[in-house]
Parts: sequence; C-alpha cells; structure tokens
Amino acid sequence: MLVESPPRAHARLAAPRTHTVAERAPIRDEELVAGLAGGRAEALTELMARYQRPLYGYLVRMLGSREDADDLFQETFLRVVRHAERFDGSRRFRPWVYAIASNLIKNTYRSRDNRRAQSLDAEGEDEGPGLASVLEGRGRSPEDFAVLAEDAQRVRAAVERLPEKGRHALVLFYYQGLPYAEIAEVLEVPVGTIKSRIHNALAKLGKELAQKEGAS
Amino acid sequence: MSTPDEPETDDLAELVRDPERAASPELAAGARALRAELDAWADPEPPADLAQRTLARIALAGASPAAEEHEARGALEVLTTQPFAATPGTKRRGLLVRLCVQALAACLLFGISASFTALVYPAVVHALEEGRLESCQSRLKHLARALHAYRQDHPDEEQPSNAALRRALIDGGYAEPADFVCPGAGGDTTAPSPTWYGPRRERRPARLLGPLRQPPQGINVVYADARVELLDVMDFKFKPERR
Repeated sequence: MLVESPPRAHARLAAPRTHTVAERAPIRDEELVAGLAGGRAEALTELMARYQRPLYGYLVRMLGSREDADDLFQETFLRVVRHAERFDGSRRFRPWVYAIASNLIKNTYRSRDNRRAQSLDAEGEDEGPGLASVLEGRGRSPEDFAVLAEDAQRVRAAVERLPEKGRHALVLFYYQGLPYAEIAEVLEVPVGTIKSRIHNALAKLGKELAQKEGAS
Repeated sequence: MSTPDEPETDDLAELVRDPERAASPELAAGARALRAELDAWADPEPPADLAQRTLARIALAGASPAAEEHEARGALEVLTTQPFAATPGTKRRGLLVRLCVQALAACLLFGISASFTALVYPAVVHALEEGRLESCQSRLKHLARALHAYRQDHPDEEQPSNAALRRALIDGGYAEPADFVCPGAGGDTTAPSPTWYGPRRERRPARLLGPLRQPPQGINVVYADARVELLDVMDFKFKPERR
C-alpha cells in the first residue's frame, strides 16, 4: 500500500517536487532510470532536473555546507549512472536516490569525525565534541557559529545538534516530505523505528531548547 | 494508541501542526520549535551550473569512452565550462567594456565607412572574448599546476571534498583565491570550486573542474604540457557500467 506523504507544516514545503514533477512530466522516475540504463543522456538530465532542488536542499540541510552539498550531489548522480542497470524497476527511485545520498552523507560524517579526532590529538586538548563538530565538521567559521547562536537561528542549530539518526529521520520526514515507508527504505530500518526516531528527536529538541531557555 | 517505540502514523505530522496535542511538555516544545523552523526555512537554491558540472563529472569519471581516450592521451586536468554567476562589480566592468566597444563602434561608424566598421567591430568583440579566454585558461593552467604540486606533496592523502581541496590549495599557498576567478562572456566572473575526481580507485592524475566560457558548453582538457583543448560536452555518451 502506498503511504501518503505527511502533511507539511508550511505551504512552501508542501509545494515542491512531487506535484510539480507530476504536472511537468508524466514519465515516471523509474522509467527514466530504465532509459538511463539504456544510455539515454536525456533521461539523466530529466532526473537531475526533477531532483536537483530537493536533493540539494537535503544535502545542505544535513551537511551544513553548500560546497559539500554541491560535491555530494555530483557524487550521488555519478552513482545513479553507474548503478542504473542494477536498479530494480519494481522499486521506487526516490528512496533509492535518497539512500545513495544518505550513505554519502554518513561517509562524510565519518571523514569529518576522523579529521576532528586527528585535529584534537594534534592539539592535545579536548574542546568537547559538540563545538569541535560544529566549528570544523560543519565547515563553518567561528563567526558562522556565532550567527547560529543568534536567537533566530537557535532552533536550526538545535536541530543540527540532534543525534545523526534522529536528525536524518526528522529531516527526511518534515523537510523533505518523504513518507515513513520511503524513509524506512532510505535508512534501511523498519517503519516503527523511523517513527520512534522522529518522536525521540522531537522530544530531545524540545528538552534541549527548554534547557537553553532555562539557562539564559 | 501510541507507544514510545511506535507512535501512531499521523501523530507526528499532526503534532507539528498542533503542538498542544503532545503528550509531554518536551514533545510540545520540540514540535512548536520545529514548526517555527519550518516556517522560516527556505530551500537553498542550487547553483545554476550544478547540473552541467554533474554531467561533466559523470562523463569524465570513467563512464565514458571519451574519458578513457583523453586519459590515454595524457590528460592531466579536466576543466568544464559553466554558466557564470555575475557579481555586481564585475558586471559593471563588463558593461563598461561593452559600452566602450559600442562607443568605439559608433565613432567608427560615423568616421569611417560602414563597410569598414562591419569588418572591425566583430574583430574587436572577438579579440576581447579571446583575451578573456586566454586569461581564464592561464588561471586554469595555474590551478592545474597547483593541484599537481599539491598531490606530489601529499601523495598518501585521502581524496578531499571539492571544498576542502580548494581550502587546502589556498591555505597551503599553492593557489590564490583570485586563481579561482575567471573572466567570462560579457566580462562576468565566477569563483568555482575545483572538482577533483577520478583517482579514488586508482591513483591517477587528478582532474579539475572549473569554468572557462559560455557558450559553448564544453569540457576543457588540460594536458600535461598545459595545452588546453575545448571539447563539446555532448560528445560524451553516458553509459552505465556493465556488470
């Protein structure tokens, strides 16, 4: 059974991707992948046109860096081309391409963690994982971090500090508008786990913000 | 009824619309905050040239017979053309150049015969464009050499992301920020990140993506002797890997 996309909290978030795609081009994504597997470059350009905005937004949201998002967007579609022949036509393309992007995001996190560990070892001091992660791992300068600490940005910063698994599920559900079943495919966990992660991430977000307000 | 492990399907979507339904104060606070964040969040606009650079990267990442051919010919770095994101200052400069050219053309029009002007004006425009092209190619060659030197100094380094590579080249003194800026059609400029790809599986010479000019859309291949060739991007056929 096809699970309906969750209603979005904001009209702007409800507008993109699915509806515009359906109106603009009746060809299904999965058919385009089949065309791509046959070597049709137009199928690739159409797929990129459909997914450029949502996927780039997802990457920026998860990586906190436009340059890294740019890089991973290219890498995602490079892998789409390389593996188009192995795509199972009975599956949906959207969770597949998001799964590729999500795996690349996880690799990037790991690489950032390694660099951070090396950096902290070299300095011989522990600044604390959160700050080091935000300053170095997100590719932001201390000035950027100061901006994030501004009141208008505090929620966004709190979302960025959520544990990776919860944030991943939360971003895919609320920001990208993916249904539970597709998120489960992307993250390769059961639907119940996805709901649980979103639930816990929301509660953690509220708790952290309440603590910050209490402290200030 | 929802449980901590498996809340009901619609609860989470509804929760953000109506945070007061939340079972706990933390959950309500989280839902309220997220609602505000979603209202304020704007999807970032992808760079105008992202799709084209992606196509070029795919075409040259081993998924194309043309890529292998250029590899065999000793291609050192590969650079692509892309649309230019004009900055206000450079746009003004570009406008000034265009106005000067037009003024010159007008003077010539009144001073010399129309037939002579018809010969000179395109030549002037062409010369300007060629000048920009040469300037851009010169910078790209410099970047190619900088990248080559960087890789010689860091032979065992894991391939960094584009952004990290750009920072490393600048911070390490291999290149200047200005090297990443190219004059483009109409005098516009852009500051691209290099894309270094290809050598993940094998340690092949690096490739670099950058702008050259528009139109035509193409891929510039810089060879080991710093010679630059502009190739039509549509020459590249996209072929998925056969397994």
